[in-house]
Amino acid sequence: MDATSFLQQLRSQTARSHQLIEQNVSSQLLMSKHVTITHYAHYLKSLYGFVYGFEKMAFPLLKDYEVLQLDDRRKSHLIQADLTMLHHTAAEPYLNEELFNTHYQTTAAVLGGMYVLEGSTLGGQIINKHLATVLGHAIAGKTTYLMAYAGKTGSMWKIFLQLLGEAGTTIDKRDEIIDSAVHTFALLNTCLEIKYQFTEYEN
Amino acid sequence: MYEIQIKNVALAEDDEEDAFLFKAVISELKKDIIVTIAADGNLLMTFLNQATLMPEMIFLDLNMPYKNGFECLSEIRSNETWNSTKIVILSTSSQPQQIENAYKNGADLYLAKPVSYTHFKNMMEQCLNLNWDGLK
Repeated sequence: MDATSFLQQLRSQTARSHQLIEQNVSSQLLMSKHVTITHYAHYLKSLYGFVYGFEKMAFPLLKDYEVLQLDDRRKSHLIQADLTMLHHTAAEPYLNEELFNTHYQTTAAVLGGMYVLEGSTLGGQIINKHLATVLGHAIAGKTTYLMAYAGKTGSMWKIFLQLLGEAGTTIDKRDEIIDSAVHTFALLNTCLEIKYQFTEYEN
Repeated sequence: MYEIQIKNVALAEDDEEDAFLFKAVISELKKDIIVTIAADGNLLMTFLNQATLMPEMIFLDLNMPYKNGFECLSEIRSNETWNSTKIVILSTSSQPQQIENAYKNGADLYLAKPVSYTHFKNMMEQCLNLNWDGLK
């Protein structure tokens, strides 16, 4: 299987997971016309545990892929910066490190996880546009996580996809990347659901 | 052999990380199970009173604000319509007196929360596939 066919297969086999995360009540609220600064801050907090843990525990497995420019892909500090600007308390790295050690043991598994996190930079642009429309100047300069790569979003995505496509041309890695991407979608979905549940409780 | 077809479970748990791990592990073990999380005992009872589809299994943390796990256990067991629901206590405590009290009040199983993710997953896998006859 060539790189293009693999990426098509990856897209198609993760389509349902992608759809589920968009249908998550927290995502729906974020993209609704009723979204508030508080909703947005809680959304950031719900992602932080995963993004931080992934960068800390899984990124090191990709250290030999210099082309990825891993340090430029770290985004958890942007979440904290946005929360500070929003005058919200810092997010907590609330996920068990063993969870990351268990699920991201190989480069293929980490690439599958990165497919989801890097793909979210594309969605981040859309969310940013929506928030700017609904919340206006109140969020100006407070969406650095959503706008992570700003004008470089397209090129960062292409670099990642090229490497991912090449990795997926061997059959053993192909399945592992896809499984890991599906699993990562599920974990992020759970992060959003649980944080939403506990946020409602706090209120 | 008395095994339950689990399609729907609920957890009352006030610790966010524990709630996350529970949901993540269940979703990983059995993708089709509906998992409802209630962040305290009151929210669990509200959910149960309004649920159109009763969970086959309810997991209770013991130390929770507003209404603790023992209070939920008594309330659930005093309602006959919920008799067939299995109740599993998930607690950090392994105190014999507490375990005994849980069983006396109608718990079907008492599990001490393991610290390790892998152990927790193995424990939940066994729990979801349990032969309940063996516990009678």
